[in-house]
Amino acid sequence: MIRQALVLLIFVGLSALAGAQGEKPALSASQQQQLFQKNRGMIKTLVDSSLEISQMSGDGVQRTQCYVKVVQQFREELDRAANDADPSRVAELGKHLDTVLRKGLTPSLRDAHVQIGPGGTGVEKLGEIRRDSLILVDWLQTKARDKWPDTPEVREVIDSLEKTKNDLDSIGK
Amino acid sequence: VEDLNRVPDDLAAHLDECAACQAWRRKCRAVEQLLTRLPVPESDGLAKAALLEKIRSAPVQKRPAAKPAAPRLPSAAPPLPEAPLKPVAPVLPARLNLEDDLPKKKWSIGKTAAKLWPAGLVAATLLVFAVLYLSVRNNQPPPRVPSPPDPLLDSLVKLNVELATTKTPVERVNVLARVADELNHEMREIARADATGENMQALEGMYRDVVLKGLLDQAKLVDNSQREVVLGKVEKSLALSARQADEMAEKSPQHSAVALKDAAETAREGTKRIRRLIQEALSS
Repeated sequence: MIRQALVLLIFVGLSALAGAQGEKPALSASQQQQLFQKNRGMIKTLVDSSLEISQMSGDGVQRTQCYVKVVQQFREELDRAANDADPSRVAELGKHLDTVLRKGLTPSLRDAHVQIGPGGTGVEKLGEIRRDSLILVDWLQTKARDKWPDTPEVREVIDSLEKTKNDLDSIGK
Repeated sequence: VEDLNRVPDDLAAHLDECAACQAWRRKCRAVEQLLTRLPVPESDGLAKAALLEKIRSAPVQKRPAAKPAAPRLPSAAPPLPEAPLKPVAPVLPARLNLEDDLPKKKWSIGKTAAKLWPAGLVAATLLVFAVLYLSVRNNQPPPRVPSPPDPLLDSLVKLNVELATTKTPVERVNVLARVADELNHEMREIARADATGENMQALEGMYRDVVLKGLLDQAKLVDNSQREVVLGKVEKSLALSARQADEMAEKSPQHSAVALKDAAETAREGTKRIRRLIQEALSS
């Protein structure tokens, strides 16, 4: 009898553990309010940029300019989080910045290069944005390796930035 | 004294009074009794006689009055007899304890402390380190609680980069409708936690821009043949958002309720204009 009860108890405990691992803990209203307060600047920039991008979706050059602003905003927030020694926030913002660089800025730059052509007007400006972006990625990787806390999430961001650098480097070649 | 039963008078008088010496006498008697039980090796008596004669003929040496230092072993010790000794089986009774007869020693704090000083030193050192560690630890700032990732920020980043790859107004309408949903949902989530209503107002402003500028502008570009299907879903989504915002406004503090009612009004306005666009397409 006792053995059966013990087996049942262990089974229930393991099931509860497995169930708990499957779900992310829900945030309380207060936590969400604090997160919004903290990220309000970036959220406003993202919403504004989404509206601008939707208006100019066919224009790669303008879309690229739009992403430059988003990248700049994320870079400032990321630097602040790194100075505050907040590893989880550094990893979170690093991942977002990498996403914006790779999936927002890079395809926009590629489209702009195609639209302008090799000798077209504004190609120098695009080259400048590409070089600045590569410098930013290098700076981020160096900062991540030397200054940010060494966590699996940060290492993942460093690896992902390497792919972004390769993508950016291949534009216009 | 050769015989313990016949002691000189002065010694006997002392023995009558001294408990320690009485104990020693009892101990000596016990040893004598036990010695008689030891097996004696066979002997012709010559060796014993020679040994006794040697002892008797040796000059008597007076012991020094006081010992200035511990006695040293002679540098040249007399050689031990080479003949092997026969092993002798022990005959002492198992329970015999000669110390039992001796007067009991008195317990003393000083003596005990003198014996235990190394353990005391270790304990004192550990205590000092524990006090130092606790005081240093209390001065350190509490460990930072890791902030959870922001789901709204995560969603908006994904939707933003998704917009970069859109090619048609239909795709852009769908992405912008999801942006509007995220903002409306966030308003309902933080309505009761926003103490001043400032964040609610900021969200309401963003929501209005997305619905009445971004979404409607792109909706106008959707081809007439697709409007009923594409914009019909957006119309329903906006109508639901308006109802949910109104419901939450009833349960929220005044400053948040105002922002929620404004958002509900924006959603209703968006619904109305979207319906008009659908009707235009149907009537054309």
